[in-house]
Amino acid sequence: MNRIRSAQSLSLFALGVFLTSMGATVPVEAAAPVELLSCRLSMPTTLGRKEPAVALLALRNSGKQPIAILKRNTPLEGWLADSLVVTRDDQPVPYIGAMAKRMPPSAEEYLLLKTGARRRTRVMLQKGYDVSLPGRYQVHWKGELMDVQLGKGPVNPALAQPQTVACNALTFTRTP
Amino acid sequence: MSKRKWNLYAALATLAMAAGASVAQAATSGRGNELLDNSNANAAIATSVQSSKAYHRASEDVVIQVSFTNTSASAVTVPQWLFDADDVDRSFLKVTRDGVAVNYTAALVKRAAPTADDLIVLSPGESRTASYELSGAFDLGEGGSYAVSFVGAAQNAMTTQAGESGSIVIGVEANPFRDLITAVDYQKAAGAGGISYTGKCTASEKSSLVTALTNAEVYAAGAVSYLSATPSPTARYTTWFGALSTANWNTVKTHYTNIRSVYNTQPIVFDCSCSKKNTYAYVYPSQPYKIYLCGAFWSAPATGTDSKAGTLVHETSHFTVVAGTQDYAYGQSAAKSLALSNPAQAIMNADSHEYFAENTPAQP
Ligand SMILES: [Zn+2]
Repeated sequence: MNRIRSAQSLSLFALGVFLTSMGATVPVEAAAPVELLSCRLSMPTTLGRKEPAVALLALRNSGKQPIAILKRNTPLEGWLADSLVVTRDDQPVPYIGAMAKRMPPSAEEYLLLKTGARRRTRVMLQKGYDVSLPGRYQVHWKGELMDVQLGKGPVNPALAQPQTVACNALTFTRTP
Repeated sequence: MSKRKWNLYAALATLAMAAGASVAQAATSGRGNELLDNSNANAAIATSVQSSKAYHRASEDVVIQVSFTNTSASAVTVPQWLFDADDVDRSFLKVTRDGVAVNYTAALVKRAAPTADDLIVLSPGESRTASYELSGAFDLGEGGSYAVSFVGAAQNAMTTQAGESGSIVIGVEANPFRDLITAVDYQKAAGAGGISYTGKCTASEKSSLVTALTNAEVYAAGAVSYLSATPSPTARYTTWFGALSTANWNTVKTHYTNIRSVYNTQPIVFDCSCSKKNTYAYVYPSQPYKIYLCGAFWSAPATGTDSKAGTLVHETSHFTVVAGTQDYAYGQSAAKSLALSNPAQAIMNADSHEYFAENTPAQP
C-alpha cells in the first residue's frame, strides 16, 4: 500500500507538469506536447450531408509508468456526460446525451495504458450532439478525467486524483 | 382461493399441456386464441404456466413461470430473450380478468431475425423455464382473480412457434396506491402535471416512486425555504457550494425553485427498465421530465444520503430547463472537495444539489 502511495505521489508530481488540475481553463489550441499522456482528436475535415460524424480519440502513454484512466464521464465510455464543447458556426451546440448518478467507480471502469501503449476510441459525435446541420463545426474535448492513477499497483478508486488532459480542438465542415 | 385449489389449477393446466391439448400455432398465423390451428405439426414446443404463489399482496411483485418443452423428436430453438429477466417485452403473455383482456402497459419490441448467438437449443424432451414479473407489464391495480397464459406475440414470429399454454388463475390484492396515484395525478392535473410509467415499473416500484417523489418535493421546498433567508456563509451552504457569494446563493435558490416547480406542476415519467447495478438513475437533460431508474436506486434508503428522494433531486437538476447541472463530482467527499476548490462548478454539480437538499448529517 505504502509502495503504491509513494509511487503515486512521486509520479503525480511529474504528471503535474503536463496536466492541469481539473476545472482549470484549457486553451482551445493544443497545449505544448505532453509527455506522460498525449491526446489527439481527429476526423475528416469535410462531411457529406448524411455522413456520420465519427471522431477518433487517441490517447498514448508516453511516460515511464503504466497509467490507469477512469473512463467515467469521458468520450471513452459513450455519452453519459457533456464532455465536449461543440460549436456550429461559432454557436454552441447543446448536449443531447444522458447524465447518470452512479455509485463510486470499480476497477473495471479504468482504461489501463502500459508504457508506450496507445488506445484509439471511435467517438460517435451525433449521439451526443446534434451535428446534422450543414455548417462549420469546432469540437473540443474538455479533457476532464475524474481519476488518473500511475504505477504498477492495482487501481484504488478511493484515492481518486482528478486531472485535466490537454487535447487539440478539431474542426470540420458539413456540406449542405 | 386456497393454495391447494390453486395447485389443482396448475396441475390441470400442466396435464392439458402434456396431453397435447394445447394448440400449436403456425409461425405465420396471427395472435389470438380464436385461432386454434392444429395443422402445424412442426410446433414442437409445448408451454405451461406455473406460479409459486396463489395470492399476491398489492406491494408484492407478481411472478409466474413459463416452461418451454420440446415435445418433438428433433432439436428446436427458442429465442434467448424469452429467458432474459431484464427484457421489457412481455406481450407474449395474455392476462384476463373476468374474461376481459387486461391492459398491457409494457413495450412491444420488434426484433431483428435472431443470430445463432440469440438462440437456445432444446434437445428432444428438454425443458427450460422462464420467470416473468406481471405487475410491471400489465395493469393489475384493480385486483381480483387473473387468468394468465402464454399465447405468443404476433410481432415476434419466434414466440408463435411455441404452442399456447393453458391458463392458470392467480389472485392479486387491489393496489391501495392505485387510489393514491390517481389522487396525485388528479391533483397534479390542475398544474398540468401527473405521473406516468414506462418500461416495466412493477407495483412495488411504482409505490416507492410515489413516496420518493413526495419526499423529493419536501426536500426541494425545504431548500427553497432555507435559501430564502438572507445569504450568509452557513455550514450547510458552504459545505456543498463553497465560499459564499450572493450571486451563487441566488443561482442555487433559483435551481431549487425550479426543481420544486417540476414536482408541483410538470408531468413526470418514470422508466424502470434499466438494471445497471452501479447506477442509481439517469436522464437526458434535453428531454424533461423523464427519469430512468436503475439497479442502485431500488436499494437506496427512502431519505438521507444517496437516497431515493435525493436521487430524484439530483436527476431533476440535470434538465436543461430546470438547472442544467453537470456531474463534476460524485459522492459526498468529492462534492465537498469540489466546494472548496471550485465553487463555480459546485453550484452546477448535481450531487452537490442532492447533498444540500438531503442535509445528512444535518447542518445549520
Ligand atoms: Zn447526474
